[in-house]
Amino acid sequence: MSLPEAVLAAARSRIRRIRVRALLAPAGTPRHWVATVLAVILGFGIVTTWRASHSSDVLTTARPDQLLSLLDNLAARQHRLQEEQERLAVTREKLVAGSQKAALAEAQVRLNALRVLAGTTSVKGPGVIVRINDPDYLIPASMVLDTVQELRDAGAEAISINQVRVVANSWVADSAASGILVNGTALKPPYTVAAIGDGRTMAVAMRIPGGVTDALKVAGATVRVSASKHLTLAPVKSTR
Amino acid sequence: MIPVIGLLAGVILGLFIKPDAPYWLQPYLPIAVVAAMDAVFGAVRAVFDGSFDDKVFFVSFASNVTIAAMLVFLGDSIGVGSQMSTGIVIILTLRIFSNAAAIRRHFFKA
Repeated sequence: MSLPEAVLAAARSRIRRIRVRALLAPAGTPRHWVATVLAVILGFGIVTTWRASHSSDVLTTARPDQLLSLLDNLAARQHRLQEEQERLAVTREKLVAGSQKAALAEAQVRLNALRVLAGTTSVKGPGVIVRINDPDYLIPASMVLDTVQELRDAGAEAISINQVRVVANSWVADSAASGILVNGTALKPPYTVAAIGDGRTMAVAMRIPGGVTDALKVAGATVRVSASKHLTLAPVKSTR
Repeated sequence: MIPVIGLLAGVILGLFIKPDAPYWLQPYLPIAVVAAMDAVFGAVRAVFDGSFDDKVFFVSFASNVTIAAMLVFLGDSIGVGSQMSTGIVIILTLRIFSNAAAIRRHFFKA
């Protein structure tokens, strides 16, 4: 039983040796030449592909869809820059050709914008009012600050909390007693956060599921958001 | 042995000539090379199995390369080019691995 097994194994290994030798032998049979030509083509192709993928220019190997998105980005950017350039060119035109009046008007526009930002003038306009009723003093200052940040993100130009204007250097903190401190003024609930800007956008931002309003409600306050056509925010009270 | 020398000759030839693939061919070249590698691994396996036939090798080499490139081209024209090339590379790699396993079994009997 063991003898045929051994003979068979020996025969198998002999066949394998012959085949490997045939593979390695430098015989010039036609079948070798076909295989050789194809091997040359493969080697050549590998090197060509390697060179193509290592060329410094990424664009030559990028796929059409990648190129398309790159092109889209560039077009959008170019469009933006062009708009800005046109706007600046118009301003320059006015300043150069025009009188001092144009320069003055330009300066006035910037002054107004900066005044709104700094809160030195009262601001009128449409906006949104967020009333946070918190009779049990559950809302920390950080959540009021979150509300302010959310309104800013939604495009608020000017914000006040209980008539205290919130500007670039304003701060909000928990009061040692109860309620919160805004710019050093102690405030007690209910808090009324008024913001001037696009009322609808800001109202939507307030109502984002899982957003500010939800967080305040979870913390135990009742919140009411209402858009208003005519809001007036008082200027910052000078602390000096 | 000669085909192995041929492969090296092809590589050296490529390094010498420094070919730049025409730009319309560039998306298809990597796929074609992977397809060719699949054919070569299949041929090596056939040699060990004792069923190598140069005609079969030539036809499988040519058809593999052509079909792979054609599929990518087709994918590019209907907007699924990158997915198509990913799919082709996966299939061809699977085949290369199974052929390599067969070759390995012949060599190490394991």
